[in-house]
Amino acid sequence: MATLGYSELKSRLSSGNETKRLVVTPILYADQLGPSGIDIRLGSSILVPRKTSVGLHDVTKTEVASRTERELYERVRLTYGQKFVLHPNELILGGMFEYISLPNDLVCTITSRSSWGRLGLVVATASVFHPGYKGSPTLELANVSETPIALYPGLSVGQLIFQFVLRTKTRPKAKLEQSPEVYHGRYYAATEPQLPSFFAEGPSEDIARWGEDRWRTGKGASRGRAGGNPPHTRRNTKGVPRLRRQ
Amino acid sequence: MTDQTPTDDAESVLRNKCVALIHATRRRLHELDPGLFPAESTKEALAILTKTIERIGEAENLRQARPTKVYPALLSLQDLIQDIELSGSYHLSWPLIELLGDAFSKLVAHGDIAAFYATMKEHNYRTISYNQQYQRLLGGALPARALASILGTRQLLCVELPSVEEEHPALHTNVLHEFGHVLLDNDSPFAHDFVRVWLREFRPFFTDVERDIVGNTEDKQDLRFALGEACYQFASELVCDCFGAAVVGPAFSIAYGEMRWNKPTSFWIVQPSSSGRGLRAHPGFSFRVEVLKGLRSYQSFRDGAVRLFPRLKTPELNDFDRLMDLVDTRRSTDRIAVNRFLGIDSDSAQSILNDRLTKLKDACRRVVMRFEPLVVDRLKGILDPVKPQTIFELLRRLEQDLTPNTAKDTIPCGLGADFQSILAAGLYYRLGLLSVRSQDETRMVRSLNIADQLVAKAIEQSYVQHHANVVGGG
Repeated sequence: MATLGYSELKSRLSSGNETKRLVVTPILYADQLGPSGIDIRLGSSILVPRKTSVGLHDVTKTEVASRTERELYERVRLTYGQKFVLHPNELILGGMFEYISLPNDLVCTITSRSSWGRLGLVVATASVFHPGYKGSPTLELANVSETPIALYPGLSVGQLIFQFVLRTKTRPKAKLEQSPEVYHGRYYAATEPQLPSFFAEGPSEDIARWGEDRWRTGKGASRGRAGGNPPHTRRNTKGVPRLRRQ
Repeated sequence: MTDQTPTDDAESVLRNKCVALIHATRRRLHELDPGLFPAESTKEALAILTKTIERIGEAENLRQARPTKVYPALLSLQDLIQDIELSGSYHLSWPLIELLGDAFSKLVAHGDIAAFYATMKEHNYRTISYNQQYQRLLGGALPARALASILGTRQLLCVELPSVEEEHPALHTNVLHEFGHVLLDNDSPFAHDFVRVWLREFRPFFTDVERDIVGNTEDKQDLRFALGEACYQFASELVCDCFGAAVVGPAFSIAYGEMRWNKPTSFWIVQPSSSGRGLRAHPGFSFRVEVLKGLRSYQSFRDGAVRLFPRLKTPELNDFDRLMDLVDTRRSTDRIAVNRFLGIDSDSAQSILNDRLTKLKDACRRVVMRFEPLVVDRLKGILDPVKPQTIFELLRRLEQDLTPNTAKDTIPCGLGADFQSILAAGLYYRLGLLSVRSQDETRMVRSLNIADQLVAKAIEQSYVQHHANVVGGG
């Protein structure tokens, strides 16, 4: 996998060709651009878990999952210069200050900056962003040290690393935008930290629900995602769901 | 047996209720975190409330004041505290509030007036004098001298924004209209200029009105006065619209229009003011939009937009005039309704105004045309007018689902777009999305949501860009 270096990054950032253009906006200072990545900052919006109001977060219970997600987090809007203390073993969701737009041939990962890593701050755990992604990624900030860490909006906490995606076929741009080769998922163009959103689309997680009674009996088959047959699956005669070949 | 009467007992109960409420209010105020206020002046309002509750709670004051006066005042105080609670950065886009606050302080240009921002349930924008409201609501709880010493000499205003639009920052363009009111109410030279122009342009109208008001009895004098005040307010509302149009051009009509959708467009209203003093008068929405279209600031932007917008990818944005026609201007015949509770002969007032509606409109138009250059001059160097080219570039970014924080990304980014351009681009783009005739509602709602988020994000980004480059010296 080839990682984009300084010159290629600079050329992509200033490219006039929309299909090749990489957007990371705003880049406040030229030295944000490193030898093989771009430094990113923490934004002003943070989601903080409220541990006391939810007993269990079981994402397979679709009827209550979205409500649980809302109950589990409190949104905090910091002003610049305002401190937020991240305590040991605490995980928060923070919005990235920059907004990014990936062309169809690049994938991006977010990693911690080494200095923060040494303090025990993990910046992103689900850190891959697919071709075509746009938005201000949600940073999953965790303090794995034993000392509280003060965070401020605007702190340079991580970096973006870009890599090429190998494609064997060339598709016209219009077709590519509708294809599964580029991202148009649930977090597209989000600018605020996003709550987790499970089972909103796609069958991949449904295997985790095979034990549920209604699947075996086929009750509520017409109720869509909340009950009945999961889409993209077909039943065999014994009532065991079988994943459809993609 | 004691010599206490049942009335004394009741008063004692009420006094104890007051004491309990004072404690609860004190606790409520202490729980407010001043660090969450986006405007410094909100802290002033909080300090006033804190001083007031301490003063009301003083033993000597409680002994002297009548509980029947103190208790309602304490209840009213809860509303004022709610204003403060709703002015934190949880409810308001703080970068936008800071930017508006900065423009406000430059515009007012003296330290005797400050404004803080709060959300309200009503779907409207308005500015209230915090001092006046305070005196009205708390007059019975404290001696006038004590109240005056708490308030000080500085005039504190509360600019109220609709809470329902928290997620739609571009709509806050309507605050520019409120800036006009602040200047007309508090800046004497500016207000004098306006009165001079207004008197000159309305003189023929009032000469004509005199034909219908015979005699000089008290009720006739009241009628004359009310008609004069109503006409003054019709014209001042239109001039305040000029503030919006002078900064964001035609986009102001969209922001204003979004507040008025589904409401009658042809009604002019004269009604008692919410403060109970004097009256409020508003011209009809359609007429306001029509006047805005005649402004130079509107036309100069339109000329550029007509040339540039056809190059945008979104078909709904290509025909600028057609886009602006979407701002609802359907109307029947304009009518003026005069409220019956004004304490004047409202029927006569209504017929006098309606009989001369064309002349009234002409006078209003002349005032606005003559006063527009003064508004533009006043805003110079504080809030620059948006440029069609910038708006075009920002719209192109919105079309690509990019934040409209800058016309072009550079390394480093430079100052970026000013907040008024971001708001204006957001308004055009949103109107374009709303006008799509598609059955796919889910997609439309998602697009609107994305556009609102991009605008809100761009305001924060451009605020930081500005501070990094100008304040931070980057």
